Amino acid sequence: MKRYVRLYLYFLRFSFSRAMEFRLDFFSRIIMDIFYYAINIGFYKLIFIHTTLLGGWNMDQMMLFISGFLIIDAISMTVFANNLWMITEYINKGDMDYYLIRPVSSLFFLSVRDFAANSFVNLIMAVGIMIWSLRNYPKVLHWYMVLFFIIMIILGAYLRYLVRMIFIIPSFWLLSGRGFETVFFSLNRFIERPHRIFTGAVRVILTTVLPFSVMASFPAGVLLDNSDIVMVLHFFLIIVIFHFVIIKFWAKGLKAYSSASS
Amino acid sequence: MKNSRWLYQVFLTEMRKIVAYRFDFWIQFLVSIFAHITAAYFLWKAVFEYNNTDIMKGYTFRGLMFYYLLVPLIEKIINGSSMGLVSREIYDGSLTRYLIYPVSFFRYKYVQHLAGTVIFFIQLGLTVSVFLMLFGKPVDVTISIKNVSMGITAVMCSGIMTFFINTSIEMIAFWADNVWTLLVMVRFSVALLGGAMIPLAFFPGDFQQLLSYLPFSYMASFPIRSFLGKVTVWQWISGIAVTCLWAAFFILVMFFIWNRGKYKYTGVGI
Repeated sequence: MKRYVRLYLYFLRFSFSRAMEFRLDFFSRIIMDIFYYAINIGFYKLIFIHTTLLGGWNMDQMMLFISGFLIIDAISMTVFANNLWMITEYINKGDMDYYLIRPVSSLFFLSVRDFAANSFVNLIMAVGIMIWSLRNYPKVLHWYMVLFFIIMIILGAYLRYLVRMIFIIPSFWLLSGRGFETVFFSLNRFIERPHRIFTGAVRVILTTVLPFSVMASFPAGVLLDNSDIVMVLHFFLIIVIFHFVIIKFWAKGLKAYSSASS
Repeated sequence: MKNSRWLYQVFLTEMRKIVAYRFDFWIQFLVSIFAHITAAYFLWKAVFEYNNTDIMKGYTFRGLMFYYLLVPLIEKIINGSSMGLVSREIYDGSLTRYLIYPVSFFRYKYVQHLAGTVIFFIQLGLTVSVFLMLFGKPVDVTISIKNVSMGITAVMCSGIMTFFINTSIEMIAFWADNVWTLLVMVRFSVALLGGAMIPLAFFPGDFQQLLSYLPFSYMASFPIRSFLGKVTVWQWISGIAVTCLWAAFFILVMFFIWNRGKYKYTGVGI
């Protein structure tokens, strides 16, 4: 464990020094994410001109939910995005050998090696939006509930990573450009909607096999709708199941991997 | 005649490239449409139910779903499949080959763009037919030869304008290390300010007026409303005029950048 922490600190140091080499890229990514934040907040502001409740939440509550999924997006962009984008390419070109011969878990190495320093600035901004939403929330929120909400949001980001891996790993068997990754991006929009607007089979799917509604909406639900123990258990159970599924699935994928150089 | 033969070959090759991974192509298409419509369906169902109304800002619920169905389809036609290609060619040095080809670089690129347009038009036709067969025509939507012709013209003009905008941005790659973020920013702007996330009728009145002068609404909302019969002939003519003005502006920008940038090009790998 200590070795992994030390290794990750090296990744961080290297990523920051590299980010400052390409300054234009550094700043343009920050502006791009500001656009993403602005359109999402703007979208819900427009929706709330025409309604006062959505999925049982008013605009103040919705801002907390929005800040939650913005933080999930920022964590994903900062910690995982650069790395996951490359995995299908390594698989298709047979370029994964370098990562497989390291004395650490290949899944860990390939998932977190490149820390996006520029997106880290956006993570700070997303946290700022959350602090602003919490301060402007008209009702009293207990500090321990807020802390639990933040922990759930961080775990929500981890769940998003696990679900994205479900769509990446089939690249080991499929002879295709990006595997099912583009499908993941299409489905990703469900993170940005409150789970209570969905009904029937769609709701069941979005909270179990494709748990996009679990990632940000459940933490907000636990904070805003008086902690529901079933919802909390559901949230943690999904993460545990997906964690173990990914480890097994990755190991199976590696067995199917054929290198280009050996 | 000789001149048009190479254009035809480029067109055919690009079409084959787009559908090369057929399984990927259709899965991506079906899932993106399904996800887009499902997210919009539940969101607007909640809004319509809360307001207890059948019509909002001139849209019935089914009419609104038809609008959302057209959004990704029209966006694909307008953007084509070649987004990010020019900047990649500048970075990896493969732009060199166009400089020595006895053909115009921009004509070559536009024909590539057009190949995507044709394929995505076919997707549009198929999807709309299936929607109409399954759910029928929404009462607030008028489908006629006139509207379809107006829609196709608006999409083609918008496609040309978007090609000039995207190519201008991509050629910034002559100077910058990364331009994809700029392309994404344009897409984000089109998503909200162009009416892809929410029809512009739901914006406050003054804001709608302001947006009618910017190019974003002509990259989504305007062509879609032309198809749906939600613009008058006069609004359509003025919309096409604004699109053409923006296209004329960006073609100047594109050539300006090209004429300066090509001297910056180092041709990696020559």
